[in-house]
Amino acid sequence: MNARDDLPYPGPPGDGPLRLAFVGRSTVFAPAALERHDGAVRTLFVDHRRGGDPGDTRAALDAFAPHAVVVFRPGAVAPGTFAGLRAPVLGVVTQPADVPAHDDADRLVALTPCRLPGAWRSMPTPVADRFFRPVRRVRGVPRMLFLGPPTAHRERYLLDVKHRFDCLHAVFGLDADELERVLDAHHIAFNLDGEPGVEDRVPLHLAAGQLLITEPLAPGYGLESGLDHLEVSYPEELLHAATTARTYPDAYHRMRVRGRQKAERLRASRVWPALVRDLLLDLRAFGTHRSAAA
Amino acid sequence: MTAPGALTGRAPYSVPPTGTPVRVAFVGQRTYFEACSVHRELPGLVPTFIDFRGGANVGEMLATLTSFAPHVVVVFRPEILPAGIFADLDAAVVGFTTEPLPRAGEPAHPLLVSNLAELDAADAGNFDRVICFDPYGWDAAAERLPAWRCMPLPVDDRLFAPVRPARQPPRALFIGFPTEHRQRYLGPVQEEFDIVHYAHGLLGEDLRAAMAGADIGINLHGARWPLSFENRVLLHLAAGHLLISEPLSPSFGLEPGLDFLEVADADDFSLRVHEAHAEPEAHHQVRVRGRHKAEQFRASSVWPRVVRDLLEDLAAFGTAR
Repeated sequence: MNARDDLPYPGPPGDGPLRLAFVGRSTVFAPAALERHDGAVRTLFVDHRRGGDPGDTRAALDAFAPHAVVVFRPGAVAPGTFAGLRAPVLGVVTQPADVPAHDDADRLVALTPCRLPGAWRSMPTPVADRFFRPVRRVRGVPRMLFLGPPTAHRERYLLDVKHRFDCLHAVFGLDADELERVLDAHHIAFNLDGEPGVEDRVPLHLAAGQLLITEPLAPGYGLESGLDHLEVSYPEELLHAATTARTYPDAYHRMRVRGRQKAERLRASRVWPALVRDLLLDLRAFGTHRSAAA
Repeated sequence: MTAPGALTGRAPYSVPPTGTPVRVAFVGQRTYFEACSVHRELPGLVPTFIDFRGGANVGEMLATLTSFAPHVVVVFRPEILPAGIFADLDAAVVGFTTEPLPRAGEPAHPLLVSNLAELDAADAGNFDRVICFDPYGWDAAAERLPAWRCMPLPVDDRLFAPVRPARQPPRALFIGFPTEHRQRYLGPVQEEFDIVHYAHGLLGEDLRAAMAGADIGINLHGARWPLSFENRVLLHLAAGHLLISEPLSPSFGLEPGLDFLEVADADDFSLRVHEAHAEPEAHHQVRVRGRHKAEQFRASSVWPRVVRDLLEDLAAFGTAR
């Protein structure tokens, strides 16, 4: 691309708020989005799931008149939904199948663990501000949590922990209120994938002030094993770590504090405005292929 | 409730003096069975729940039990107790088998055979009587243990709630481990609707909150066959949910179409979920009927009567323990 010096879409007014719309399945992506309504930024989350009515989604966007649109899993939105929309569209891709039609996004962001050739940038999943908590001392017996669908790999790790300690395993469908309640009620969380990547639950648990016990993270995004989280490499190690953390919860208090500090870098109110600002600068400098652009 | 053993003088264990309450200890894995027990004192009955699971520290469990000095002990899943563990316990012990067993005269399903193999680990000498959850597995249980009666697992009073108007859109809940069969039903529907799904460990306040946050309860067997009557059936009815379930066997008096919606296959399930979302109030009366039926299984109603009958039965017929 050649450098240019004009924004291909109407930009936010100098004295008014940036209107930022998020589109995606709310139960999955609202925990990663920004919710803010002040003089600087106003946000809207449009719930859209695979097979949903693109007309409804487009109508909601048109009524909001956003200055930028962030679309989670853009491949789940019908092609052409954003045709003629005079706002930059940032597609957030979590798996290769989510890649949208060429004209449906100006730029693509790959959320790890997805590796997407040609992506504008790659980053871990941000965490909505509402899920950040101070690290509190554990009163009583610590409680354990795993978020995500079971797989053979995960169950191989979790089986003994579930049998011994009543680990809550939530598979799907929690809305933001339920997720907050569940996070508040648990102190130890697991991350198990069996493959490289940093799933969205990693920053979520750190932000909630929980002790994170995880398989090795790759990339680590600056997280340090043994300092801000506990790393385990096989099921017996996970059982041992869980047992120790349950027996001596205060032993890992500082690790939780460190993890909580690291999570600040992924706070939605910090990440999204900066990312959108950079998107607008990037579009101003390098333009876009979308036909909706000026 | 007064202990009736004193009426005959032939009670094999200590019974409380007339007019004093019976102390009942419920023993089992809290994850599954706390929701089936009595949680508060009732007239004539003082309960406690002791969390104990296979392989756990037996000494701790016995110490807790001894300090409580129960007159009656209810053990969920008799096979979790080591042999001879209650040899010196001066209390009536009733086991509760909670898994379906092979049915007489029917082909044996591997799952049922596996359940039976686990039950083989139970020591009959630990129990005065055993309640079988599954009447169709009576023969299999009675060959191994002093089978006494059949009934579904009761429901903790705290999980009962009035039938409320459904949310718009309604919230559906499934509690259970995902299996290939279950995902065949749930997977396509989850694309469209936010069905809350917990696989394990939902208990206590978390369970109550999850139940209060739902309007629709889903019951799917682990596989297409064998059919069963999972304890989540009554949990959902007690919570005032619209229950959408595969066929139940045994039915324990529940009537499809009246107390719950029965679905024959994944398409039928999808249709019912769509209907319930399109017209959340269409099945309000089914929910009321289901909630009404659940009253039969309220823990505070069931357990005092079972305990009273147990003590009378032991006084009348003694025990082989």
